Amino acid sequence: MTTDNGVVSLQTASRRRLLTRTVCAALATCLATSALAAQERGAPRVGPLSSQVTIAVVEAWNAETTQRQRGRFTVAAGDTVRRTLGVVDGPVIVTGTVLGDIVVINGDLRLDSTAVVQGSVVVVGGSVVGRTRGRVDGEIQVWRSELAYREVDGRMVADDNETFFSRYAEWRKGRTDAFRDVLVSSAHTYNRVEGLSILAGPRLRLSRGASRATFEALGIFRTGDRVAWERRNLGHRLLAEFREGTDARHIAFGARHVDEVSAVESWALRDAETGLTSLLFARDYRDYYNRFGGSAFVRAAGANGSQLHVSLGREEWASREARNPFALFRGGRDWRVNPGALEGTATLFGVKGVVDTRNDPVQPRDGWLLSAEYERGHVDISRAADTTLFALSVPEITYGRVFVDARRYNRVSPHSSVNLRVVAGGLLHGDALPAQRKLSVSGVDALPGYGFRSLEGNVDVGMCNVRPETEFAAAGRPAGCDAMLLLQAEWKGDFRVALFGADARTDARRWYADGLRADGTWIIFANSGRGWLVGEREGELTYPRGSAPLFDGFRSDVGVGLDFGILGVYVAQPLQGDSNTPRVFVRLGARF
Amino acid sequence: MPVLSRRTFLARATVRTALACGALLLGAQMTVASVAIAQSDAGPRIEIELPTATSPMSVRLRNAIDGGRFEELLRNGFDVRVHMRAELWKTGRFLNDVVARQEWDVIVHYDQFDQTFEVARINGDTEVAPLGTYRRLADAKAALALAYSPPISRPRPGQSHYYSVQADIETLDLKDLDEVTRWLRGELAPAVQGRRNPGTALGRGLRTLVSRVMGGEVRRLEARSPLFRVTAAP
Repeated sequence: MTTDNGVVSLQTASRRRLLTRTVCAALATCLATSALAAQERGAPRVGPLSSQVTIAVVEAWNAETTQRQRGRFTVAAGDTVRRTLGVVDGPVIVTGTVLGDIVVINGDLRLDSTAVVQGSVVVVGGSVVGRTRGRVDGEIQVWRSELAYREVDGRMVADDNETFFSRYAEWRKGRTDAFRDVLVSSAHTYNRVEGLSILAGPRLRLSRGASRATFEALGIFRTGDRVAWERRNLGHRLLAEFREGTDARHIAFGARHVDEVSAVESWALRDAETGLTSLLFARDYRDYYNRFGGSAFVRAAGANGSQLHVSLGREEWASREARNPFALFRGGRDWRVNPGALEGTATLFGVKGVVDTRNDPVQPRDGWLLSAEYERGHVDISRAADTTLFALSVPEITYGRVFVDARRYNRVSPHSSVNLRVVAGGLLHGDALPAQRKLSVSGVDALPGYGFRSLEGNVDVGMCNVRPETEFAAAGRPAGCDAMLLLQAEWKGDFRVALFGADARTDARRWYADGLRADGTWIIFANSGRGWLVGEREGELTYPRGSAPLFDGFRSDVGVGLDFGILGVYVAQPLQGDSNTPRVFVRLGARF
Repeated sequence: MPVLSRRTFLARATVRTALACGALLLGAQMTVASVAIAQSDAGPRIEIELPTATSPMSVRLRNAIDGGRFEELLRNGFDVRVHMRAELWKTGRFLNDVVARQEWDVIVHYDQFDQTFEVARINGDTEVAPLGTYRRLADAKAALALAYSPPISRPRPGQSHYYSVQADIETLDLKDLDEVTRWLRGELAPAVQGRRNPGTALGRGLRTLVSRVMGGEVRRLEARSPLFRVTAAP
């Protein structure tokens, strides 16, 4: 503005204009102030009705002197209402005169310019139009929230307990978890062995107090490469579980019987990622085998999201061939061969523990996520379709396998975090690992700088393969390591793109709409890991049991990326191997 | 009038064109920038009020369900749930630590029979604070934007702190719908007594599936307060 700019040398005309503008501005300010005052008188209030308002409104309606009306009601010009006027479910239009108060319940009030109200106006569950047009001598109170009420013997009674949420709360207090329904859901993510796997069947849950019993009898139907009612397209999942306690703290035991397809190395990549790459590009980054059998289990859940699960079971293991399911953008690409599994009858004892102290499961900034499992297995081998490393010529094997995935999230400043992850596992004791329990350090989740299951250099520390490339590819590039170790670190920080200067009001805010954040986090990461075989020391691939090739022959990569919430785009540069080309990759959600 | 050589003319024309394009681009960018800022002001956002000597910290979520398909889904029977999490962080020498944390939900439910929007804040499992019942969606939105002071203890004097607040806004997902339908079933016709047609469960499942495939809404907002230090009372 002129005066603000400090212009002091003005000509007469300019002075006149300035004077005129000043007077106009002062008048406008006065009008605005009075308008504001009028607006504040009777300005609508949002929020629950206070008990005082509720009582006052109900008493006013029930008073014998009140003239009660329902629905649309008009006080016409020239008409006079000599008492308090109460109207339910209006609207009310006042053009004439009301000598008492006006109480409008769950309706609107319109005051015309000729309206005169000598008392007060109270509107609940509605609005007032023309507050400044008509004349109201008393107060004007407008509450947007509706009044819940019922009528008993012609009298209005406030009914605070009749809202959806109060009923919800009552239900939560005295609820039982009991239900019976039919579940229809996808059993697995889309894959080259099953296509789309659909789970359907009845579920029953009985509940009394803190005790709960759950029964499920779910059938599995696989679309495969053709929708047909045939044996390989069918499976099942049966469950009986008894639980004592709450979701957060409980002890449970039960039994299950399954005939289903399970993934090998499901720790790498998320279900959604593998399913999406399969459906879109015919690239399936997991291997699968079939389990048929039952197990009994005990589970305990306690503080800090901790859980301990112990199971004992017997299963028939079988290989599964890759089929030819539909993919959207296939480009003439064949599905990767699904590697053969060790086939036979397995007796399995497993212990799995989880501790989760993360502050946020989606975008954690602080805390631990520790997952560790031990499995002892004895397999009576019926057929060694295991093509990973050596043909098993023994009738049975016994093994003990351990697997640990430890993640630590550290916030080092309001805007940045340093996160660490260690994944380790392998043969702990026994003869050898079955193919479906072997490990690898490869792929976008582990070492994104290197191609998925690609052979690099003379010694393959990714999959522990010792065969020629053609033979390895023909077998489906199976994981073949007896043990592995992977270390991951990342430094993350928030970013906002503000090409034209930061808006001070939104500087500390980050948001994404419809799942995609408008700003996000930058990431600098490094990964290093390898796998090895267990046996007598031989070359750089086989190490004795109990020893690990710490930082010897590790594959490493570094990279940067931008995480936009549900989608992250990264580029990783391998530090060893034949290829020096950086790789660009996309992840759904954070890396870990 | 001086006669310009063809080369000079072309050079000047090029410069003029470049300047014009630059000005146009700058103008367009400024317009885009101003629109963007206006949108960010009008868009979904979290506001954090720092505690004072007399008042606790408070959180206000503005325009939470503006844009997207929240409104449409809400009117079609899919309640909106806002899960809020407020954390008090303390800056350390190397790491920042969470000192206190509170979580709560705000739910908007549309009653198709009464055609009203009910809004409530739910702390924990059972503590329900009604925020009103409204006929107009705008009023329900205003109730959703009411300031709330979560019971987070005041930070200790001396150290630097900041608040971090996240809001996950979503139409009720499969699990929640399942729970709500279980609730409705429990009230209206206990399923364990076999009075409900299992086919309706299939129908509900399909409706949910269609809703999610067709674009069930999920939105996450996050805000941090500036660093602040509480001084000891004199």
